Amino acid sequence: MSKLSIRETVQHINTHDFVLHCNMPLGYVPGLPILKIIHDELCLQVPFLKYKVTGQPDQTLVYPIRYTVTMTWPEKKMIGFSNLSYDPAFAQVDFSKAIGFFRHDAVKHMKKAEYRAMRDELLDQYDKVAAALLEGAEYTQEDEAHMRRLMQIIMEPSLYPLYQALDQDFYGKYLAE
Amino acid sequence: MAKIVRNANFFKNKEELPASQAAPQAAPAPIPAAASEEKTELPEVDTAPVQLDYQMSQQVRRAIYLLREMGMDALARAAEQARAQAEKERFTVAVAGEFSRGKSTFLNAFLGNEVLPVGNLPTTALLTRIRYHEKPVLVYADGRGGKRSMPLDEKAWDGLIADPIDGNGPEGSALVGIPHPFLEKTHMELMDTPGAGDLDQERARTIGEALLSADGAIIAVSATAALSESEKLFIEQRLIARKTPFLMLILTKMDQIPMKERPMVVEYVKNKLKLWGMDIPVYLPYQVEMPDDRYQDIMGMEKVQGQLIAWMQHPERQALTQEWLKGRLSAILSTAMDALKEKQALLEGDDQQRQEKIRKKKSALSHAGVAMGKVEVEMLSRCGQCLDWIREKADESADRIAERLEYEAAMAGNLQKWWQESYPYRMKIELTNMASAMEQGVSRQIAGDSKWLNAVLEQQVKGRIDVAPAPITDKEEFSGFTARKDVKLSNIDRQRMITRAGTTVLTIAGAMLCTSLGGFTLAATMGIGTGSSLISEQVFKGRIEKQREEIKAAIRANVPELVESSLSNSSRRIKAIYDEMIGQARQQQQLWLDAQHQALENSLDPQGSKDMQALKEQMKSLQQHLDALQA
Amino acid sequence: MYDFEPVEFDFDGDGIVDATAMPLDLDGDGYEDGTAVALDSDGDGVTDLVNVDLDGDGYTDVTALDQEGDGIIDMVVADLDGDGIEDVAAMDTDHNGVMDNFAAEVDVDGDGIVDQLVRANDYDQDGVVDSAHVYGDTDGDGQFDTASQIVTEDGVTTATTRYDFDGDQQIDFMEEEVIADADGDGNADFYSVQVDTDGDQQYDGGEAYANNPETNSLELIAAEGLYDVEYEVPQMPNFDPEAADPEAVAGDPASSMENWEFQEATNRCTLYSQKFVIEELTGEEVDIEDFADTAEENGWFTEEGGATALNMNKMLDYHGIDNEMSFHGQIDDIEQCLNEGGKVIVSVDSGEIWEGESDNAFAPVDGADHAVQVIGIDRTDPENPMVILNDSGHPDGCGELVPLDVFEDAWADGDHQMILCH
Repeated sequence: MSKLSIRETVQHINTHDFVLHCNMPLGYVPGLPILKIIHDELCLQVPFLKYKVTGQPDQTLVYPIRYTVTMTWPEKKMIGFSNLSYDPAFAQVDFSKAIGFFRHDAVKHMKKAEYRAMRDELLDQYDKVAAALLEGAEYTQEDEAHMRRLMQIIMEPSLYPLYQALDQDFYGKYLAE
Repeated sequence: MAKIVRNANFFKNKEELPASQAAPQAAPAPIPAAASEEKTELPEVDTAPVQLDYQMSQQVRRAIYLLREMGMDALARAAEQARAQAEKERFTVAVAGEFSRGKSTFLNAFLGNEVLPVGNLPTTALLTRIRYHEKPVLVYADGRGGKRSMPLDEKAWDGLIADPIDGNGPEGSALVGIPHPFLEKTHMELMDTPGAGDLDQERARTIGEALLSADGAIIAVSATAALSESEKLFIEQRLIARKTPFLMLILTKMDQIPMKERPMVVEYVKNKLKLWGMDIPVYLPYQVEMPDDRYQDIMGMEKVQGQLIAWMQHPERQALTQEWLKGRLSAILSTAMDALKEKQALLEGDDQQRQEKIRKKKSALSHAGVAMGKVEVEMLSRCGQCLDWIREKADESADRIAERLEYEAAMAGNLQKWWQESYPYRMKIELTNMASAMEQGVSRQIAGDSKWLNAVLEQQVKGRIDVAPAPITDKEEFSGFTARKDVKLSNIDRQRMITRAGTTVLTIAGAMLCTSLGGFTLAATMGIGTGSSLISEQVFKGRIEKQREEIKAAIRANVPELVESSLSNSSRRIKAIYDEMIGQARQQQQLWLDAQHQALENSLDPQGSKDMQALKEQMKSLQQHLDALQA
Repeated sequence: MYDFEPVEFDFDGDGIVDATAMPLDLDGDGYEDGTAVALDSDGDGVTDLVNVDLDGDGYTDVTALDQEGDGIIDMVVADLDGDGIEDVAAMDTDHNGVMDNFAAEVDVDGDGIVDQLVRANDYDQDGVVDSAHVYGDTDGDGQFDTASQIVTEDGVTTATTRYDFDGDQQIDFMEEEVIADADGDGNADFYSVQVDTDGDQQYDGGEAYANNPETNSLELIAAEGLYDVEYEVPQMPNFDPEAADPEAVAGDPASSMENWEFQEATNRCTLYSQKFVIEELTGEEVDIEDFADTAEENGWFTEEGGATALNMNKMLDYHGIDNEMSFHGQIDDIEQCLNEGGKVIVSVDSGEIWEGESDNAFAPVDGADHAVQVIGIDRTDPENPMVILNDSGHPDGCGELVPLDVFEDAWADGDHQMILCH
């Protein structure tokens, strides 16, 4: 098992054997993952949602998160797949309707390359947190503030309520005001 | 092997992460929950006195100056007292609750007999403060300015001890200095507050004030009659009034509870506190044997000491003190404002109108005193009704108790054994139950009466205000988004009442109540071995029939006596409570009257518009101060 | 315990009773709970004010005023939460004995912070509030962030709510709801809501409901999506066999093009791709409906979601077509397969196929959402190699031409998934 970073793991998750067999419809891509601690182990919960590029700038449709895949880190043991269409907490969500537009305000000025670079940087922060939690690597207030800042720029505002519903702690730490 | 995270709560809290600068901020020193086993090892404490923040300090100083300038000396004095109290250096802990046995025993144990040259701190009529001093010393202040100091020994206490039955004793207060290491390190002052029921009204009031000024309170509760309604009232009032934010409960007389039942008592107390929504720690100050280890961390004098230290180091102390001071100052300044308004009203109009107004005003003020008298009469009448009620209930109880015990005696197998062992225990239970039943009724009645008092007092001044409500309209049409939550719906000007003796009185009442009605249980536990003194040994060697008769007669005589003695104590205490309430109201009223009179005096020689101008300036200044305090 | 007797006070000694204090036993348990004091506040000998202290904290909780002294209460104010500020008030502005103006501060969640401020009027004095303003503090920060105006007229209630979530005094969100009870039976017959989501004071979308008399419930009759964008695929060039150099073309696009069909507004791209391949290799016509039914029965496809990456070749298997599915393919693999007469299906990012790369119109994360058949690679112009597709998702997707680099990008978004069929 190669030592992949969280970023790389998430970016290639669609072809992971387990994920393939979850049979999510074509077009569902991984969103920003959620870090959580279960039974003292670090876990990564990757939400899946879809986007539709309409060719109009800032009118790319954002659809609700519909599936999540959870694995332990760094072992990447798959511990869960959930289909939110069957989760009573998400009963009010119409997964076939878009819930927002991209680019949102915080990133309106960013071109594709710039946005992707910042998103990659954000994903790199996840590895920093993992290193701090698992190896006791240095992690300061500044690091955390940086991650929070990036998160709040990159994350589409229309997804906030869904992240809050998925993991209150993660939401509270990185997304809440 | 799965990798385990170093901090399982990382995503739950706002973590205290290190700053990335060169010098990471040190985490604050942990609050020691309890000192280590060795009593001599005391943790380092920050004994800096409470500092008011600069702004607050300035505000207070300016307010006092303003009051002096306006010639309102009484109010300026009151404000100065409040400030002194807020800025005082010592952390004072009052020990309240059952007296004579529980409290004093606790204090003696806390201080340690090796330090006290006297066998025990005797029950005194005085408010006793205990501080550190290199050599044991007793300083007696007679309340009239005289002071006397003497070495602390048996002789020193002579003459300072009050006769508990008759309530006469010296006035003033006593200051005990002892070379106690805990007191030395912490600069703490302990205050022993004897129950009000032992004293006359005057003394009761002084004690009440002292209680109010304490920073923390240790409430002693007896394990044999734990947590009555009156105790609840006491705790509630103090917590709600935020006059004493730091409270702890200590359970005394655990040794009188059978070992197996001890955990039940502790849990009962804790649950009751939880039920009342009160977050107060409970401690067992003495080592008692318990069936298991559960209570180790709340047992022992060093745990109590640890809690006291934690209070002293509490970061909110400054904030709470300032809140209290703000409240007091606001009340004082409101009184001043009232007086100025009166003055303004008097200054308007021509000379003749003014004279007329003044005449009316003088008459009104004198009648204010009369009205107050009427209030007092009513309160005394209510007090009487309360006492009548107690008597009635007690008589009923005495009958019932005697009947019950006679029946049990009649059923007993071994009469002598029953008389010597069961009877005292049963008597204790019966008296305790009676006390509990009565306490509830009495405390509710007292609460009701104080409410009545508050409402009336509030009106007395309100009656003079022109109530001119404006209609609620949609004048402020909502176009913007600047509505703040403090939008006032009406334009009624509400002057917050200064004669509102309410919270203060109730607090004292509660305090008194707590100490007073505990007396029931005191009687219940005190000297119930009276059986043997009533019936001679000889009898038990004689015929069974004779024995039964003797016992019945003894019960018939003994029960009413015991009930009666409990009653007299509590009657006195209840009276003291009512007197206290009236006294407090009178005091506040006096302040208000004085200010009004002063305004009247000052307006007797008007100097025309110049005075009016100055008055307006003063009022503006005062209002600014009030606003600043309420900000 | 007591006999509650009122006590009269003459504060100024003028012989006129100024106040009467009356103990109240509110819960009838014989104990005093509160006190009411009736005052003659203006000294005219008539009681005009009653203050009631309900909880004995020394502060009046409810005040009733009779300003005219006519025995009719014109105003009642109450400080229910004891913070010294009245939070509920009712007024009878026209002195007819009916309260017509109301205001209240409400702490909805009991956290000590006022959440709503309500002002209401009953103009026509029918006991029913006609208009109300409700100001809400939804995030408990002490600042109102919503303001609603609610007006009821002739059975129609219109509520307009403006939201300023970030407190910058700019309206972020606006909502207008209309509820109508046409027949006055107390049940809403019509309900509509319009929303302005971007603060430009223009409604962007909404929904309307009407009562269905059969089910007696409101049913959606019209909806204008908020995020419904009318999407039109751009024009795409098509392969012209005449213009190409047959030697430079891998595959037999002209022949494959004969099998192309448009999938319309369905999610059947994966089915159509497989159908094209099956029809070409077997020469047999396949009925799309049967095809879809079979796929659905076997769990390889749903109309709602389409097929998944893993099931993209299941119908090929079903029809006995020899195929190999893999990821991380290379363009060479496709070319070689085509040259050998094989057929190729790939998954691609439709957005990139149709819109190409854009710096300003992109998605946060790329992914393949579409299946197409690659029917040829045209290197007639070596500088501009083109990939030829049978794209069932484009109305004009027969022999769709896509520049190779664009195709590569679109294909990469699906991790270069390909199904090579023989």
